[in-house]
Amino acid sequence: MIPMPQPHLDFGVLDDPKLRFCLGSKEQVRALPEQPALAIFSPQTLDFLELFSALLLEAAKGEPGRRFPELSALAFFCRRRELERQARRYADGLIRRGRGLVFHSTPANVPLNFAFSLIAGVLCGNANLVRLPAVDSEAGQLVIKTLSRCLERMPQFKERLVLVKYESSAQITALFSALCQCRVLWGGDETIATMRQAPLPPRAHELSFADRHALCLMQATQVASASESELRTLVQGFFNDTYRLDQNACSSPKLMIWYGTAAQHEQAAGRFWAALHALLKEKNYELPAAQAVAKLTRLYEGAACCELKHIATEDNLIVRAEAARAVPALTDCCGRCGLFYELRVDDLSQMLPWCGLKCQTLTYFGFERSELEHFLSSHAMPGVDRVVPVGHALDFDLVWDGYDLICELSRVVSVR
Amino acid sequence: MLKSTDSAEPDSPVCPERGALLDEVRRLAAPLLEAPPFTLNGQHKSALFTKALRALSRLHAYSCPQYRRILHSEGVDPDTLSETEQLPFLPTALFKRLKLCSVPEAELFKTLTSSGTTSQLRSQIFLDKESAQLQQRALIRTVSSFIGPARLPLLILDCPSVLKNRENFAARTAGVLGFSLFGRERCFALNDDMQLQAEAVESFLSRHLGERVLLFGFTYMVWQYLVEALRRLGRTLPLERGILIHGGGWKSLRAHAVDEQAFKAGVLERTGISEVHDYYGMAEQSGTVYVECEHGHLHVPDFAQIFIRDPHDFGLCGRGERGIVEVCSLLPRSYPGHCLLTEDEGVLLGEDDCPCGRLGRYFKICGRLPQSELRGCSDTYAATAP
Repeated sequence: MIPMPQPHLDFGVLDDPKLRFCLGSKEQVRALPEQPALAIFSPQTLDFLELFSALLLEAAKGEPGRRFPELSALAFFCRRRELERQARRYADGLIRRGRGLVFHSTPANVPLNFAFSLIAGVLCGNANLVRLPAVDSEAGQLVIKTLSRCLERMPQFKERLVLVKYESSAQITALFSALCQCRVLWGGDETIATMRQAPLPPRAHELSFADRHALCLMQATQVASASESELRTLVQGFFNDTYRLDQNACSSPKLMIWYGTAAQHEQAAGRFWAALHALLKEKNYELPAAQAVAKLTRLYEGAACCELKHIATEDNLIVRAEAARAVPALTDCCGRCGLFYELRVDDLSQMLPWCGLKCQTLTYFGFERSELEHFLSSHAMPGVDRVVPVGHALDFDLVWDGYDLICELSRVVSVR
Repeated sequence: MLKSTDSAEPDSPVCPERGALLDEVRRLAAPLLEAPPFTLNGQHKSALFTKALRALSRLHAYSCPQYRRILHSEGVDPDTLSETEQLPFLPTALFKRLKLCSVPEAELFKTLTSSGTTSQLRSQIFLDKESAQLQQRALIRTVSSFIGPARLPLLILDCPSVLKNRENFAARTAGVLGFSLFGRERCFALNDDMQLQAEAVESFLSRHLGERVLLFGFTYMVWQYLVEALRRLGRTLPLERGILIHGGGWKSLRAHAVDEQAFKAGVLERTGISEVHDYYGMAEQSGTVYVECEHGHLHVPDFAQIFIRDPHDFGLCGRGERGIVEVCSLLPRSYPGHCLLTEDEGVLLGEDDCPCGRLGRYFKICGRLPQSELRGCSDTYAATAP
């Protein structure tokens, strides 16, 4: 067998002016691989995250008008009680500890994604090197500031955490990849292809988050018969899943499935979209002109490949088209900022062509959990890794994209 | 992959063959293509144009299955089209994502690509002989209205290598080739390193002393490689009788805070040219150009039409209102690019009443839609330059 090429460590690239340190320093990068791995959910890790949670909540509350609900969600995720609850899932008597250094390359489409990736790495007892997205977000800046405050109070974690930023550089990626024991790649197919050109050490492990899409399944009769306040909650949740991040996240639904007869669907869809439109107006959702054109482009791309009917709407805020069948090619024609392809089904199995490998999340309204569990377990579909009620599409979980992050970012010691 | 007909499709309209449809297009478009340019008033033009556009839409719906399905998604039947503005407009970016062609592959003559940096997708525009010839003829008719019918000595403000790669025909090449039609003798002002060849230019001009000379180039290249280069060299060119035609967009010049006035003043100072015409056009509808008259208005030729659309609902904007520019042209026969939504912002200024005397609509371009992907013709070089 040909021996694997050993990655070459070129620490010189740490002096590259393109490389900026947002937390930590270049000296720390050299020392990162030597940091001992801790046990998963170790008490000192929980102390650290408890402090982080408290300081972050304080920072979030300091922002006028709860500007960043995602900060509160992150703080909640890191509460000690919440983490202890999570830890119980792994209390199976096995010894689990970190793999060593985790190198995270994080995406720009979901501003706090880097924080969740990092926290998963921290919980597993790893040292972490995070490449932040090129675009700054205000919420992200607050998280970094809060992390820095935590490190001042708990300096023992200082040596285990470095946050950097760099525009594409094969040399920098090569060094970080050569140093790590686990590489976590976010940001879609193209980023994965580029970053994978950098070799990993032989024992290293990789976790990649490819381009995915999401579906939303609605029980038409339930939408039609919902009370005004239930409808309001529903569209509010749907707004959070979609428009709040301009449908940029993989888990933001772009394909809608209405379960019911044609008449039920018409009634339910009419009510739902009207209520959503009113909410968009109320929230002053702004659609840039270029995005209005981009939505039409995607819509026609879809129409050119399969039978679609563009439904007239009051304006360009919501763009809808009904598909005659669940043609898989349509899932590659999804847009952003409010473009929805809809399908009416009499039988849930009619949506299966949209549940391919690329399908990550299914959100639902008006179904019992057990009905969906039954449907999912009785069909061998390649996709659908995650099923959540409408309103929770963007909620982060330690099980993500079909991976249990705690298991992926740690190793198991077996003793017999 | 590129099929001319697809009669097995259930939604295939009952239609006579393509030849008959094409003849109908030729017949209905002729009055608009062959009249002296800018001579039809709005009322007169509207009925003729709609009829010809309807026939053209029918041709494309019959010949291009993707286009047929797009019309179908909008519930539009070309036969019942009563107003030009009811026809669905295809966003220009669609030509980057789909191969839209209305002729059999065997009849393809050349493929035009829009500019774009390597990481971007480029539009692909499929031309048969007829569409390519129509484009040339239409360009000549339009531009002659501004520079006169005689062929003039032509100074091209570009480098010779722009004509080398003709296989993958890029927009810059198309522009230079298109305007070469007006040249009697042609001289490239730049070498392949984009250096101004001042001696060669001066010797070219000395052969045409006292004559009218036509200059053509992309806006930012005229500025950067002619005006600024002459400034650096401390030289001027004796072009008092020159006419400059330039186009391709202002994006990179605006970034350097050079506006129309500064541009014209710079050109005048360094070359003595006072006759300067900007033009607006795009690879997706090449041959159709909107040239600026002496009053600074871009004019719509008889065989084309423009609409300004409100980005909120794509409804029509009124005169003087800023919106997204939609362009219609009777030239594209080999690809369904006869009605396009651009990524540019513009304003309709008026119709039939420009002081220059040309009939038809006139407008101005305000620039790219904010947040729009870089797509302008001549901005290619600017985007990739170090």
